[in-house]
Amino acid sequence: MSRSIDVRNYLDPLFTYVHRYTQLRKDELLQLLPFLEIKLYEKKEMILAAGEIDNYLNIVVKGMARKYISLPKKREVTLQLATEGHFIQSEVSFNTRRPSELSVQAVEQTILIRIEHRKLETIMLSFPWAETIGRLLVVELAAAREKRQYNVRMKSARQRFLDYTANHPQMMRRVPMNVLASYLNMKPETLSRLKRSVKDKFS
Amino acid sequence: MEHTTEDKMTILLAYADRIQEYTGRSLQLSSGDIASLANIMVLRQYRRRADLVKAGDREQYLHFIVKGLVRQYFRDPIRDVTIHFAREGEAVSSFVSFFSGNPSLCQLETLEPTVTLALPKNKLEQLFPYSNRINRMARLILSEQVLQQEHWELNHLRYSIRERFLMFIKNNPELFLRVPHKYQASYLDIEPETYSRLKTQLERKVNAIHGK
Repeated sequence: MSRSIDVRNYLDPLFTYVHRYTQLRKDELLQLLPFLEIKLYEKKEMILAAGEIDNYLNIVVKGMARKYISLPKKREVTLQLATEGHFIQSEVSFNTRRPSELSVQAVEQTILIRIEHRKLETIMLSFPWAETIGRLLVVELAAAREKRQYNVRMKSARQRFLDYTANHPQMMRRVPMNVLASYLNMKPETLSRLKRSVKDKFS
Repeated sequence: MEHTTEDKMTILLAYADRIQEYTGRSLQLSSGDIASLANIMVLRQYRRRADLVKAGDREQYLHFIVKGLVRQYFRDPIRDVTIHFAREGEAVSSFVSFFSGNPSLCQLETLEPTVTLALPKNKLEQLFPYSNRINRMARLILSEQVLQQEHWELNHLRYSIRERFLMFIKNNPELFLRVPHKYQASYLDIEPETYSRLKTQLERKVNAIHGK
């Protein structure tokens, strides 16, 4: 399955994504080239299985990946959906170097650009500008997490649904309903009821 | 109250150890970095029930708590939601607002009279270009926040209300005594009535063991 893909073909989108938050320069990105890996995952292929130590920081350059936890009775709760331009990893495992409680899986056929844990440390030590970029990316990550925390704890299921469809209309088609329901912290029945009620209103 | 440079350096070093414990990474601050940070730290004193930052305002300080107790919460006209407690030795701030410069989503309030040594945003930002290690510190402080949030979310998914209540008390015996119960209930995402019932059950059990 290892169709060969060249990281160079995806440098432009990668640059656009990272530049959005950090003002990373083109020449700086090119310095990172030797540290970057690229990998293609088929739909539903596991990127990280629970129990493994996460060795990678991933950015999605094509497709979509999700991070989830498996619970008793075959229940799965999706904690993150990452489309083009977004980072995904098991932060806890990556940072603490302990086995991950979470799994990461491709929702569609997905291409990731990845940096291995030790290589990231090398980057941080080798390039004086890398820590600044790293700080700005973590600010972005923490902001996204805080917003999710706010949405989950402060908004009703209906409000979460309406906000999410307004901000991510294309996701309604791209994400399987049971995955989206658990991501929005509601039962699949609630999600289909909300979908119907919105449809009725606009038809 | 006067705080010497030495006091400030002590609290920074203790916190650096703590970050290392949580994130598994060393801050690698040099003695020069510690001195620069101590040099910009200011003493802040708050009465009980004072706001460190209000939702919508931009956070100006990253506090290290010398004495006291702070709760972090999302404000709501009907039902506030508590998301974190910070006590002596811990750092507290509306971190995302502090590091991004955007308005704060959450609010911070003291639950006891509180003294902090705080890094002012404008002064800390002047240090970023001069020290990669201070950039690294900022990155790891935020990483720790992300890890804590994930920990809460996973516990919430995995454990029952009773288990969460018992784990909280076991891991935070001091907060159990110091924090008003309604805020503990809110943090655990359980109804205040449920919290009281669980607490009464626990006390009965403890009394039975001690033969009362």
